[in-house]
Amino acid sequence: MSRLIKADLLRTLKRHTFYVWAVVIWIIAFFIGGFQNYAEEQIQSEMSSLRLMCPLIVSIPTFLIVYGSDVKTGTIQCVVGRGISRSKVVYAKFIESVLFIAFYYTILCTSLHIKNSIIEVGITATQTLSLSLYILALFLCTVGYLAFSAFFFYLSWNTAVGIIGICFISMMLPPLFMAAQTHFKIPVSDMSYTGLLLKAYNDINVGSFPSTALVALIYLFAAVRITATVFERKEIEF
Amino acid sequence: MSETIIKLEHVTKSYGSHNVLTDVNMQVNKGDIYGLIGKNGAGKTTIFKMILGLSEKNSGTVSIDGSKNNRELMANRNKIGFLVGTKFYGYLNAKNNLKYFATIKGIPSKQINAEIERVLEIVGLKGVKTPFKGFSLGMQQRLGIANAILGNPELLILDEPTNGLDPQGIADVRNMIKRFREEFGMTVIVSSHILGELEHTADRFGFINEGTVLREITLDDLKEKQPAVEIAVDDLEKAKKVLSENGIKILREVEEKSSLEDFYFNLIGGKANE
Repeated sequence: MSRLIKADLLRTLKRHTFYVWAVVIWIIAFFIGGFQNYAEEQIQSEMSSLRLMCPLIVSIPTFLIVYGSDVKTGTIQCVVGRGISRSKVVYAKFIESVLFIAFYYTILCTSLHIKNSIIEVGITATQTLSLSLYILALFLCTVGYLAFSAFFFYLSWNTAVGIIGICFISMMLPPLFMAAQTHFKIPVSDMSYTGLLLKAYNDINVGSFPSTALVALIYLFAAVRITATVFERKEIEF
Repeated sequence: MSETIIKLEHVTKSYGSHNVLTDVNMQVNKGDIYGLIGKNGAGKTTIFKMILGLSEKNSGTVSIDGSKNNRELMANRNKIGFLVGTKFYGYLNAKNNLKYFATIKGIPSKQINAEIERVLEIVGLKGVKTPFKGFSLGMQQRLGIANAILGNPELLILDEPTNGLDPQGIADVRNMIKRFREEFGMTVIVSSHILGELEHTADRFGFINEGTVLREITLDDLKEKQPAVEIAVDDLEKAKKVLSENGIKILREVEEKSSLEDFYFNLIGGKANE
């Protein structure tokens, strides 16, 4: 499995689009939240914009880099044929996606930090820490969205289905859960992956232990395990 | 007795009600060049995919180098190099594509470059810097073979390796296959729907039709089944007379023509066989 991860990482570093996406994310992050007059206003604006855009602008390029070319080229055939089990392929791809998401979030944070240093609205260390924690929560959200959409990808062996899955899970599902929670008075939104992670962020902000993050991580690993099982059993003509 | 490297017993595969393989039994011994012959759609590629774990069987057993369980089967797959279609990354050149697969195969980092140079030289792609997306069909096949022989696997599976090649390319592949066994001691399974192609290369044959391996024979069996020799004489009429005087009946007389391949190589001055 480690050999596959190493080979994929080295291969991706030779891919131009990997760097193009990094530049695009850097530029988008620089303008995220605009340029406000007050520190609190700036942080709030950045947070709301990040929540709206981050999962998409990071997860789509990551998905295309990690999964896209395997379907297009059929190279996965050579990997499985060399004795690497399908479940190990799923785990390896998951780890790769976490690494690439981490890389793109680092680019994003660097860009935001530079902007916030330049605009001189007096952002405090506490506000920076809060923003960083929020970005960490969004990072975990993105990892989850990608892992959940990977399930649909492996099920269909189709990149487009995976991309649609990301858009649905990150953009449509949270408001749907929220509406269901409001309408039916059942805590679907609070118990959703995103809801649990945002609750964990709020817990940390008020000095409590972010126990809901642990539940979210259980969701995440369960999704990866189920995906591995599905891919192991599915008949796919490479 | 020869040691078996691949054994398929009563293997069956179907997609819904469509049977792709029916009770397939096949045995390949170490050191063989095994030719799997069958028309398009006969089930050759499915057999290969089953050996490589790319397709799941419905019943029967597949054994690689004596593997007794699934764990051993998976582990022994690393002893196989294969060409089943040419699957490479378009944006990478030959060297970088091979680097990717060499890393997956577990070839030590320090040896990777030397190994890649070696296999690229064998297939005649050394020094080619073009990305894979700019490769001709022949170059793609050559890179596929280079990938298959990375790390000197014990067993080589080549599915229609001459597809899309010109006559010189076909002759080169034929020579390469012989070289793989003679120089590197590899066992080779090669499939084709062109009989003449395998006759020049393989020494054991499996005939597959509509998902069933009908028969396995050796090159010697093939000779025994045809008690005839071909001789060239300078005076045909005189030869016929001598045979007739000695009470030997001529059962069949075939007018020999140069094959298209011979004609081509005579014309361009290349070599079909070395």
